Amino acid sequence: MAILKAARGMLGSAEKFDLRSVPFSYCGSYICVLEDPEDRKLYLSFSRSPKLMINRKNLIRLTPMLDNKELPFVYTVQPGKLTIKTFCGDIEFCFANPQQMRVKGTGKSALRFSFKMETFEVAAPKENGDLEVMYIILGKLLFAPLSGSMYNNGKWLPAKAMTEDFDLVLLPSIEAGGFEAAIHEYYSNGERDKSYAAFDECVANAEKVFEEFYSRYPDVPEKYKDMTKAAAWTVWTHIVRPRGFLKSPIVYMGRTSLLRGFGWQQSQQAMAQSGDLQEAWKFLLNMFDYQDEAGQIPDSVGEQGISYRVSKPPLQGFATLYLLEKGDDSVLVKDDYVKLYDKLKKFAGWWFKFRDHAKTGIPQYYHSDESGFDDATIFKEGVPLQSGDLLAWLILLTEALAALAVKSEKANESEHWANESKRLLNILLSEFWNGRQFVSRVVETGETVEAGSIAALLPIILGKRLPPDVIEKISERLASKDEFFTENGIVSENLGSPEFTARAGFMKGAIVSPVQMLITLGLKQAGKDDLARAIARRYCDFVCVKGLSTMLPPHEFDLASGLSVNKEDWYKPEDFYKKTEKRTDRFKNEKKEAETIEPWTSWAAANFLTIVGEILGHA
Amino acid sequence: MLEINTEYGYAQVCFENKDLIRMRGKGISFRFFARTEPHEAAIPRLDGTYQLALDEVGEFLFVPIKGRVEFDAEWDWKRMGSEDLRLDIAPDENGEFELAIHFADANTERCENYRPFDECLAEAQADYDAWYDLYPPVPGRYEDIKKLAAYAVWICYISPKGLLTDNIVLFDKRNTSAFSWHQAYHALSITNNVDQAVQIMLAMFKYQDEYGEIPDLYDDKFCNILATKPPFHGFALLKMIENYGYDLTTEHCKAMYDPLARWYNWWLTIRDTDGDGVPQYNQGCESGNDFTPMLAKGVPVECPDLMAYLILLSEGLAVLAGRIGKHDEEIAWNEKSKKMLETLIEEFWDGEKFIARLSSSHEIVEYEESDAFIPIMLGKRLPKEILDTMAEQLLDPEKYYTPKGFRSGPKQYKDGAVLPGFISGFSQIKLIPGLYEAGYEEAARAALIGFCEENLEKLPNFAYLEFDPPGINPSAIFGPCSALSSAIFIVMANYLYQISVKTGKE
Repeated sequence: MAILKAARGMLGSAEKFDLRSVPFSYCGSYICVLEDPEDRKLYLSFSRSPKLMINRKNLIRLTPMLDNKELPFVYTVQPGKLTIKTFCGDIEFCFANPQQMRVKGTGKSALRFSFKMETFEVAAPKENGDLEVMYIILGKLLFAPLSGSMYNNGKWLPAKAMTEDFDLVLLPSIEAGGFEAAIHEYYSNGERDKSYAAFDECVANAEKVFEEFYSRYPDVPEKYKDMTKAAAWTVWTHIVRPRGFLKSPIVYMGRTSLLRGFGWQQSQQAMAQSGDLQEAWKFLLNMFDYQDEAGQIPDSVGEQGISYRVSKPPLQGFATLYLLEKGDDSVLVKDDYVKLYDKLKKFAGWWFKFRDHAKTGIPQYYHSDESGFDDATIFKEGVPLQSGDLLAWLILLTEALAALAVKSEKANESEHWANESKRLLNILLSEFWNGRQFVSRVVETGETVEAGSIAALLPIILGKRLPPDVIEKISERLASKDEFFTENGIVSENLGSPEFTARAGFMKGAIVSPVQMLITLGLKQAGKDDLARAIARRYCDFVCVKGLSTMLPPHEFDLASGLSVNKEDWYKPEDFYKKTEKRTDRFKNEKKEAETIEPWTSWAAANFLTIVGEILGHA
Repeated sequence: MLEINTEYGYAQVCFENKDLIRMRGKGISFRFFARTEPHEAAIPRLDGTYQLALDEVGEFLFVPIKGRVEFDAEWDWKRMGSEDLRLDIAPDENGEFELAIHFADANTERCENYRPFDECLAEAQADYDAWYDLYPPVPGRYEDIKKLAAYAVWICYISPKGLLTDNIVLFDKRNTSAFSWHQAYHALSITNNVDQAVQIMLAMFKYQDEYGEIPDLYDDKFCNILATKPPFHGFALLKMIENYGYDLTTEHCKAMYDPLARWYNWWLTIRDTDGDGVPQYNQGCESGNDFTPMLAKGVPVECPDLMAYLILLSEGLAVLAGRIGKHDEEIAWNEKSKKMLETLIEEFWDGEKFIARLSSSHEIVEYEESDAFIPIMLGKRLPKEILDTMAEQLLDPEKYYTPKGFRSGPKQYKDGAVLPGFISGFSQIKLIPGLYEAGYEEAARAALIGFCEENLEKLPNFAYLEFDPPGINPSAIFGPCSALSSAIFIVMANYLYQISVKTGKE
């Protein structure tokens, strides 16, 4: 019997990674095709949810069929096309634009869409043979057959006020030698187009648009080229268009997990795109569309939700200084600087006013989430908390404001910010450095917190602003295999800490992507190139093995218990309080498949791109 | 004001403004308890105030004005938040406490000084009184319920936030959304302030899409345009025109004309997929009765109630067009109204009732539901024989008639016992006046009185059961004192008042 063989591609059945890691989509689109890691089926889905996490991931099952029987298949993903191969023909998907997916079958295979419906949802036929499927919260899909035929068995049930679960099948015709359909996505109303571009033309266009996007990223060593392309494509497909709460394009952290753009992550996206400063600048600015009157930018924003419960660290200063140094700023004009300056100034003002009601002169975290490191051990004694890492962010923020003020022709304000930066640096070194690490301080009690968290060494991002002895000490600890250095990157909690675990949490021991980026860039800026490269190489090599997940395992086995270190499903906040220490299979090393099936995130992709381009690109 | 009395003392609560609650008390302490989920936290700001930040809700700031706060919400770093909050305000040496509770999405700020509690209370009362004055008179025995109904609407009238760009009326305070057609009921109920009536009528049209559709429901976070709701706006508009006369100025007419015209046109294009000039429902919610049997054979369905709504809407648009000088359009709208009426009578009346039919195939859908008689709201636009036949069916106690109003479906029995029928306010508001104007005045008046008495006894409810089976509290099912049911009650009670004035009968 012949064996189905997938063609080579960027992702796919013949590749190390596939649609279980990252779905097939298009820049700006809310729909995607994914593979479920448990049942290994393909689904058409929406990246929409009023909550942080996706709600109905496995929405519409896609099944190649012949004579009412399901066909086995393999698939290949290129940036502009998904190709499903069966024994009876191919089925291809592409996007004509962010709101129009196209599907084309050649040969004898049909394609079945199996819809799971909920109360009030309906499939309504149109006179011209199209079918409009209307979902609560998710929006609408219009299935418009272009060739071949389309059949569905949807039926409205008055007693349940819904169309019950149903199937839609695209069937090939002999004349057409297959079938073709357009799937329009919209929220309220839509109609089929008057005419449709040829399928191959849509594919070519999508590839071209992606290539233009990809060119924003710097050149990388050959061994990382494949993963770099996949990372860039991950970012590209995670950009969603403005709708609902969104006022401008934003990069969602996930397409099938956390459906939000997070405050500080947009700046990390900007840093990764240093090859096109004009585009990078947009990502520096985009969260400020939601800056409130007090100056705060939200923790996260999505099409269907926005959260001001906390903010995120003011990484924008670090990112701005990085881009001004790296990028070709001839593409920017005064207005670009003024715009960013005004917004950052207001944001800085918020930190000094709304995060220091006790009027200490040193801003605090009011919540651990505001550090970006939600469960870092620096928070073990409570909040409000003054902390070395926050001071480091603010030092760079005020320094960036000084630089932007000059470029905005506000020299008098520049001096104020430069002085503020120096004042904060003095405080950091005199009050928060204990000879080994930076500490934190509980404001209410004055208690000093010396934690094993990597956050305590994060001020290395200040580079040579730190005295040489501080740099040496931090470097020594980062390079120590007893403390933070592992074969796969820097761990988020000291290996010798009683709180270290790779078996649960976010910042309690896992190798976390933003940490790798911040530490390596900081070391490089501090003149510790070799160490930076050593960490970067280990991390990037590991990413090529394990993929672009935000968290990766530091070891194959838990050093404390000897148990296999495996990762469960993505951390679910609502379950966290009920979790016990009994944890198995955290990184799924016990599964038979060797490759990871953790969802990739645009966050990990951006940080990988920065590291591989900035640290290893010049190696 | 909310007043809580105990044998040791009392607490009183009022609103200083929509985002600031004031509280005072004497002789007792007062405890606030809030459950927190992971990532949520209550923390002391270390300036004497305490904040509680909740996901998807926002931030509360507790500011003691008199007395002292005892705060307990231990930080749990593994939970990335605090434990449940226990915040007590305890009295001062005089036995008194006073507290301000601010609310915002984030970044609540305390006031430098706080105004006297009684001043805030007086302002809140005055604001309510002004709202009450929007409404028409009702018979004396319903005056207290009218006050409650006006209050129920007043507290649901909310200001812009998040996705909301204008004031709008929520369904009720337990349900965070505003429904599109409810705004028309509210506009209809406000007879003493044309600006307010027009503002509410147009509130949902702020979210009208480029095709002309308005969402089913909308709130500060969410737009539900999976479906929509019926175009009841024509019914409401004609009543507003009748009530306000030329107080409904050219400006008001201009403001309403375009959005309502686009709304009409959406029904006759996107919701007329077979292009026969008869609009359709694509989904149950679009009829206002989510489970309507009119859709028993599938969707889309061309329905008589929808046609009746659009007959009235185009008639209303004709008036608006005339008032703003668009005389050609005035004629066109009147012709549309007339044509739709002719189609309704010729193609949808089967001799006994109005039928529905599938779009495209025009297969007839037989069904038994009081909504089949909603065209009775067209009154004397319909031929007498149709009105008489509908009236006969509506007034048949084995079908739809009950002393409290008309049930939604024919009387049903199980094991020989009658099952209680469902009597909804938004059916009565169309059926009862229609029946009255068809000449069945006594019967309509009796049903109206019955419905109003139900409101009196059980408070304005979304719906009532014909009788209450033992062990069932219908209010628990249907929810008392929603803004919608309150507005419907005021309209119906005022209708009874008008009949009383006209006939001299109580």
